[in-house]
Amino acid sequence: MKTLVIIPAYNESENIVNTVTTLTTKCPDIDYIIINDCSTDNTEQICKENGYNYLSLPINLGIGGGMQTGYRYAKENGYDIAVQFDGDGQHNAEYINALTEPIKNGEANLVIGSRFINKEGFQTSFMRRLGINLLCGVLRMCGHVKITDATSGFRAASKDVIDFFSENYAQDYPEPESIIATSLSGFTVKEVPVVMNERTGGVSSISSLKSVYYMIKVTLAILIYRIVGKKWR
Amino acid sequence: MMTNLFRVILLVGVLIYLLFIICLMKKGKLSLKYSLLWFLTGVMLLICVIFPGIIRWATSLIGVYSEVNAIFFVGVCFLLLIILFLTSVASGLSDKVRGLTQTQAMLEKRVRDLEKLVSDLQSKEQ
Repeated sequence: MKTLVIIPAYNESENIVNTVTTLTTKCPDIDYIIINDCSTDNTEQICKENGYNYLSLPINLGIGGGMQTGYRYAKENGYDIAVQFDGDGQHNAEYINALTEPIKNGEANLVIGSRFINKEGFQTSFMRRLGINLLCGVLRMCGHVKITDATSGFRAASKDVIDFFSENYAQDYPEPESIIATSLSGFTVKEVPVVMNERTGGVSSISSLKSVYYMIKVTLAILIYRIVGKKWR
Repeated sequence: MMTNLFRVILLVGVLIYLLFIICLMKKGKLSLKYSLLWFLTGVMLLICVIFPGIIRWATSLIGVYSEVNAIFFVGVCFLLLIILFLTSVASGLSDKVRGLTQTQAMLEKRVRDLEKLVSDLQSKEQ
């Protein structure tokens, strides 16, 4: 099965070389695409000089629009599985096979890598965990999906979900929203345990000041999905 | 009651407003779709100013004491509608921009790949 790893990168010049090098040494038979979301640093230059496979957006679209570009690329090039993989070194390439396994076996359409199943590796701060648990509760109530790590950006999508995401992908803070969107559209969502690292450089897309707004916005978005969510297939 | 002074002020205001719209339309700075909407509101205002009987009738119809208040009320409702409409237009535009950006990025990559292929072939020939 043709697998594509989508690496969103916004100002990741410190990490991108490391990320791509570990990825290509650990998974040499997997293709990857870097989505440079109009970085203001020299991320694009680094990609160019190293001969990486990359897409460069002329306007900053944010993580949602960037990720969607990756899914559109995957669809256009006929990939069977797409794996989201952060460019900041948080995700471990060893777990890509664990993520794609349920899709290959036909057990799930969307597989999410969760750091909270085996509680190993970087577990993030208490407040964040609280927020994540709240979101998981909302997801459980509204979408009937049992998820332990709703904000995990380490996930694999089957061909059907690639099609779905390339046409409608949540913007702004897409991780929890895309879970409810896929599950309400009749896809199977599954979680597998992974170990994540603390980010080695760069800044997280969610700062502490924004987190309250983030919680409210995502909760509302999930509720709206529940109310007006239309079946896609 | 609307005083005659207020009616004259309204009349002048509405005329300036209509002139401004026509001016923008002439310069092509308002697309026809939206200019029609604004133009019609201007015409409606003009009719109301010239025939205040319409406002008097409408005021008693919705149970408001003062005609001026009724005008303000209708005006605010109308503005809210227009803003909502503009927000929906802006959302549609941002969707379109996003789609274009993504397509552009993918095309740019294809051009880059093809350029590399061509230069590889050329260096092979030499």
